[in-house]
Amino acid sequence: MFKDKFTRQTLAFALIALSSALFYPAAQNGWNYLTWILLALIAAASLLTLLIA
Amino acid sequence: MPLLASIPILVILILMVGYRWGAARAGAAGYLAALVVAIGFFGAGADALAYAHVKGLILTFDVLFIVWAAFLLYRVADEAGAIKVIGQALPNLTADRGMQAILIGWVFASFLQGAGGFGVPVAVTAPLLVGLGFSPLTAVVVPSIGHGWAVTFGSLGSSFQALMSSTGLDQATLAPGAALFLGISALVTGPMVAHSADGWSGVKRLTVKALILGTVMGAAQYAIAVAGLWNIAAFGGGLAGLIVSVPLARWGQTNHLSKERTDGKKLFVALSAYSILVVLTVVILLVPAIKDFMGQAAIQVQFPETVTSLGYVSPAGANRPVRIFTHAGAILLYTSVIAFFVYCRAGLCKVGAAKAILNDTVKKMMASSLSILEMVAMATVMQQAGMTEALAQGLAGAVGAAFPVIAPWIGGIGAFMTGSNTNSNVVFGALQMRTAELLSLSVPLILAGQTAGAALASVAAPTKVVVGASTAGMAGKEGEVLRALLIYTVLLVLLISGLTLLAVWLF
Repeated sequence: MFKDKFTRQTLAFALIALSSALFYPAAQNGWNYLTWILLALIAAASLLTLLIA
Repeated sequence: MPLLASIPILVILILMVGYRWGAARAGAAGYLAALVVAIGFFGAGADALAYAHVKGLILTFDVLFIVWAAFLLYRVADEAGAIKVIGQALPNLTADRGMQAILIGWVFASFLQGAGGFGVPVAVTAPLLVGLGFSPLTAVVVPSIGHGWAVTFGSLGSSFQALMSSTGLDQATLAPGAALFLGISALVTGPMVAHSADGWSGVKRLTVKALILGTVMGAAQYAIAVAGLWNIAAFGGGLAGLIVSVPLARWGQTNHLSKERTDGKKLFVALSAYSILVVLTVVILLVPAIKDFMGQAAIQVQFPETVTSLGYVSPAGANRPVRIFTHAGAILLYTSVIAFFVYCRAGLCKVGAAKAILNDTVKKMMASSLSILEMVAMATVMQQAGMTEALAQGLAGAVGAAFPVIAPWIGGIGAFMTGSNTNSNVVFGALQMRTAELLSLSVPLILAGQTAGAALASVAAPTKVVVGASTAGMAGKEGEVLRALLIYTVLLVLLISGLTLLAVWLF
């Protein structure tokens, strides 16, 4: 699944972009738990980038 | 607090320079550092962080739309052999080696920066110069210095778009100062290129021609940027330079006639992609009825006020509208599609060309897209958490009235470290603006210093030097290239420093 650098970068990019988009409904509706979950997801994607991209 | 706020930026700079990490990995580390400092020390809550990421996503789209589409257009033209045709026509104009260096390493490199960017100017022109008999070191140094003045408005305006997005200011506010500073630096660039290629004798022999070319290119870029067509300003400057260089190269020469004649029709077809771009840009951006009709669809989000637990307030407001169909990226996309069919009709398309172009665009752009996304997210988190404000206050207190001198160096260091004028504008744009506001200095002039300093220093960034050196057979000798480049780069940023101080003092 993470066979090459390009795949890993694409995956991290998609994960961060998608999570960022979901922040809007989370913040608008006051769903703070979703915000923290999304933040954790983005942090994980960033860690993925940091370690193997 | 300012020291804490500077941690994410320091993380990026240390990892990229000290440990030679790529921008994507260093950006991720900087983003994580920003998140930790924002939550742990600046009291950013869920709402502030959530809106910071939404703002970051819009800003990223705004910047990446143009970055991707600009590279796509370059690939369409390159696949059809257009870049090669233009590059081969130039050396036929003159037998003077210094003038050849100016034509290819300055004028053509600037045109390529306007149209493509992303390391293309050096990658395309360095091998051409080596082929003409220049040493590999000169072949890398000449186009590196040569295209710096065109970086901000180059890549069809990517870095300028980043400056507008990160500060929320429009073209009318930012373009005049930036184009003026960069235009003046173009005047100095010509003699520098002549010096690098042919020593002081080259400077003596070619300064008048270089000044004429520099004036034409700088003035064209300024006029186009101020007229509202900032996305083709550097491209227009480079094109004006190419047109003027034909008679100028032959002026005063007796042995200019080349054995090879340039095929005018071939050159005309080669330039058609860029002719289409100019026509579409002018029609879409300058015809009010078309601009208004196409500009209706926009991404604009209303953000509520957020307050951190330390009491920092991010006021409510909407982002700068991102108009989908009149966006510079959209115009480039239309141009790419039309140009592709024009080239195919002229018989310049190979089988599977479309697939090759798309594959290459996606592969080449993904790493820089990830780094831009990470760095933008870092910048918006810092801004929403009050870290940018703390940093600006610290900076204003520390340097005070000397800030106009320092501002271009901040931009320059940012670009040197990250290898990109765009990244420097994303990371430092809001900080420079806020510091200027706190010191009651002209924001457009300080930002002009930021982006001009960044543009001129970006050419000496280690990441760019590595790529440039590899195309001229200088791999492993990057240190030599960097040393040769740094002298010119430092002089150019010093010039911008002085210009910023003078402009702030005058206005």
